[in-house]
Amino acid sequence: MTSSDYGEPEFLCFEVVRSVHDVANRDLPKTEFNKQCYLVYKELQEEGLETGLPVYWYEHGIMVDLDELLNDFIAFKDKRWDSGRRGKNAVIVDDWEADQFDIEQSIADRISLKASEVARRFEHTFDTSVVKDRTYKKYGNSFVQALNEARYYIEDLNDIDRINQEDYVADVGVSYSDFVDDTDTNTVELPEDVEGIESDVIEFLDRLVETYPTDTYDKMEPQFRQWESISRQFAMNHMFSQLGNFTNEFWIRFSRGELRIEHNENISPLKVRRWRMKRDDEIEALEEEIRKYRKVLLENREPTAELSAVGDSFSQSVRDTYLEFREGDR
Amino acid sequence: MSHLGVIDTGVLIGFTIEQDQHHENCKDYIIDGGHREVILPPTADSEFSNIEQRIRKSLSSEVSEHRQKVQRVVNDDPLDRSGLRFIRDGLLDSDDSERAYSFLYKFYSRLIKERVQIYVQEIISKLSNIETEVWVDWSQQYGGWKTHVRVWSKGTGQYPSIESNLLICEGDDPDICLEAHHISTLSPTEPTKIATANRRHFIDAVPGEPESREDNIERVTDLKEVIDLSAPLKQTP
Repeated sequence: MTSSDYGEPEFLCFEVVRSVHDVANRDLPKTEFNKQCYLVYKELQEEGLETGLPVYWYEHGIMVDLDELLNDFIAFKDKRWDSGRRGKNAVIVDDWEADQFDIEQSIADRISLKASEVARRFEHTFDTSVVKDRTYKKYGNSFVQALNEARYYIEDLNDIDRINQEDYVADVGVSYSDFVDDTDTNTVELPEDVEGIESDVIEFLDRLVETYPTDTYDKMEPQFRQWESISRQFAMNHMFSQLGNFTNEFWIRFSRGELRIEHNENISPLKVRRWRMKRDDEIEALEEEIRKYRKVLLENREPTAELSAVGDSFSQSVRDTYLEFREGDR
Repeated sequence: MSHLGVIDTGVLIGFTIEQDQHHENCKDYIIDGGHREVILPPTADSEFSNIEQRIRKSLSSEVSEHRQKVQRVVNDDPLDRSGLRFIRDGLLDSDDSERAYSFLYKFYSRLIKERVQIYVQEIISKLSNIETEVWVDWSQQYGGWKTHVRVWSKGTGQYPSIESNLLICEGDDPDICLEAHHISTLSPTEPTKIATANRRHFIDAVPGEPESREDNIERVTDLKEVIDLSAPLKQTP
């Protein structure tokens, strides 16, 4: 049942699953499948062997685009592990064998060897974030790395808020309780080191500003700057639950509007073109989120006198800008 | 004496975005200007919806771009006065911060006067507050402008002969004038006045024209008076 369409990239995926099951003797959650395939692909590439694996950067890091391959030899079965975690476990379907792939033996050997090597490297690692972090560190640019680290930290902050979460003054649908099941929101007790948390978040944001690659991600730079501006204020005002939700929104849209378009290999041009065409929709959706979260910020932050202190000069600038736009629109 | 007050876009911008004496003047008129009601004509409403966000966005993003530049470039910590001068005179760029330049310059000048030394993180926090407060609607502390101003929704009329006799001709201003006239004709029992922040187009005498804009409007339309809510002319430093 060999077909010339089942080639190097398919074999690579096949070998990764087989190696982890047989060589490392454990399951392979889908997230880790993506990352291990990518490591095998990249390391072989660095050693001079191009396997053509279709990959792209997305929300949770690097993804293998199985839709671009003949993929009926692999399945992802729902599984609940002993740890209590639920996910999808990668398995080889029925009795697929290596000889069903149409590739040169020497190439097959190199792929198998590398897959085993990578499987052994993570044999005793059961935390998928470790493999994920490895791909970020080795192949992600410093901005994407920084954002990944910031997200880990910010995700844990959802329980910490200066404002009693049900008291958020906001539009219908923007209150914190919309995003979580837990509505136990009696007086929130802030941990003693809330200033430390603020300072950590500010440090993450500083790093993101420093590392943002303007030339690479030029299309969504205005949205990044607005997200960063509002997030900084959320941190300064200890509105950490909003920070987590907002960061997630930004990350999803940014992955669609920039990451997968800028960082993909072996994806069909038609698909990439479709992603580009959807970019404006993503930007518009993110602008809407920005407006929503800015409103929540303005309604709940502690006001300062910083703008009032330069109020006269600022107001003149407002009038000049109004005039400029008016004349420009004629 | 009680009247109907029709306001233009500039007055609303003064009330909601500005933060100086002009804001106070606009606020005083809108809240307590001796009128029975304040009305916003449809053209001014649509101009305001469009332009309000643009103004805030452009000023705020200039401040945040400058702030992010300071973050990337400034290494000394804490800064002394000469460090602050370096930022104000060297780093702050009127090409990048085209519109925000003057108030950012003032911001640093005050810091230089008031502080011997300051941590960069404190400057960043202050700038962050400024870029955020550009978005504040200052009418909210009075209940929001919509609780004091009615947006006109009863249509407009065609007045070709009035239009041809009006001297005002710039952009949307003639439409605002005609809409105010229309509103006035629908309230024959009380005087309607137009309150404007734009004296150049609605009040002043323009060289070459037979009468002042104000006299012209009062003569040609049903409007009783043009109320001057313009800001004083910019002082050149």
